[in-house]
Amino acid sequence: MNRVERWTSRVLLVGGVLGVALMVVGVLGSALRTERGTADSIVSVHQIGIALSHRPIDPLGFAALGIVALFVTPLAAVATAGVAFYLEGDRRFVAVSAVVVATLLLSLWFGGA
Amino acid sequence: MSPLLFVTAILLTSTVAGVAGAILGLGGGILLVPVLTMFFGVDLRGAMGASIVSVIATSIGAAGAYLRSGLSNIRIGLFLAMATVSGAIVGAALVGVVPERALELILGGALAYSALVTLRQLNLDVPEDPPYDALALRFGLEGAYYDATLDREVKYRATRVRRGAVAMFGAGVLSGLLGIGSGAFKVLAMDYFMRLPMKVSTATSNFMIGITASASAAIFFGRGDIRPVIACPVAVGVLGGAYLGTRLLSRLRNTTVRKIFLPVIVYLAAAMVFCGLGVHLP
Repeated sequence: MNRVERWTSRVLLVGGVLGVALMVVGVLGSALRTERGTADSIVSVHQIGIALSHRPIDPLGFAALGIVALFVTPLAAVATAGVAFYLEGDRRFVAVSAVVVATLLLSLWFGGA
Repeated sequence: MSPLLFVTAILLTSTVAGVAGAILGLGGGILLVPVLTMFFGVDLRGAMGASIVSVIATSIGAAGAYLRSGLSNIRIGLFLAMATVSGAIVGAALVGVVPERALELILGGALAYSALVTLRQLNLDVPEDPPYDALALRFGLEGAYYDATLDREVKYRATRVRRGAVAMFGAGVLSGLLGIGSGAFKVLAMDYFMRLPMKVSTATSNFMIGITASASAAIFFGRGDIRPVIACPVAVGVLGGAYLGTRLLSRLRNTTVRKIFLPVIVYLAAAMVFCGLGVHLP
């Protein structure tokens, strides 16, 4: 396994574990909590910030942060692959990775996210 | 149903979806959406939100392991992702312009044809000596993996890359236009057009589906369709299932994977044709 595969699989592993851990903490915390939080459904990064800065902290904020972490992980993996390709001197695949990341960001913009 | 039983049942279903997704290169939504809506009373939007979580979790859980084992080819995945993500943007821009039913009929027909092709090469284990392709050579779209069932290293290289990229673009258009995952099309494009071993096709598809799904995930999240109470057990179950699936795939023959894959595309073809005719299958 070369650097590209090693780094990319590591980013996928860390992102997956982090995302799921945050979701589990959020959902368990929310289930154990009797007091109503800041929001029943968090639908933006801004609302995650509000939920986590609220006192007491709304555990659903952690769950939503975990969901976002899961979604960002593939994008982070591609960006990491691009860096690894650069260090290996593979300029063609640096360009390919950059095109994929740019197109993904463009699609997010089209989606109004 | 008590909340504990509800979560446990979703967790078990998602584990099965994760195993199937990791072996077949699909997101698992094909299994999850009908089960969540029919047996758990989750509304369609909530089920589709859970499905997108399932696609990404399958991809993360399976692709990491497949990259380590050499089954997933990151160069082929990224090269084809350019076509798929571009297609998804075009598809999203065509929403409301192209009649969806006509498209569903065309794609259903294409899938039915692909099913016939898959049937013809059902017993083909590893494609032998495919013709050289200039694009594949320039971008190094080749690789090798150790096949435990054959007890040898299998070397492969992609061919007919342009056709594969066009098929991937079509898969992307489908994703953007209809809001569905297109893992089946990705696997077919790599298996049929590019003559990659079936296991490499499903493993590389696993890497790609996460990339394309992350583009649409933000939209689902922003609409409030992803509910943590459902998404959390789905993600945990699918990640665990995907890990189990990666262990299983290494012990399966390419022909076995193709035999498991065939009924799935037959079902998808039928579902798409019926959808185009205005009849919705579960």
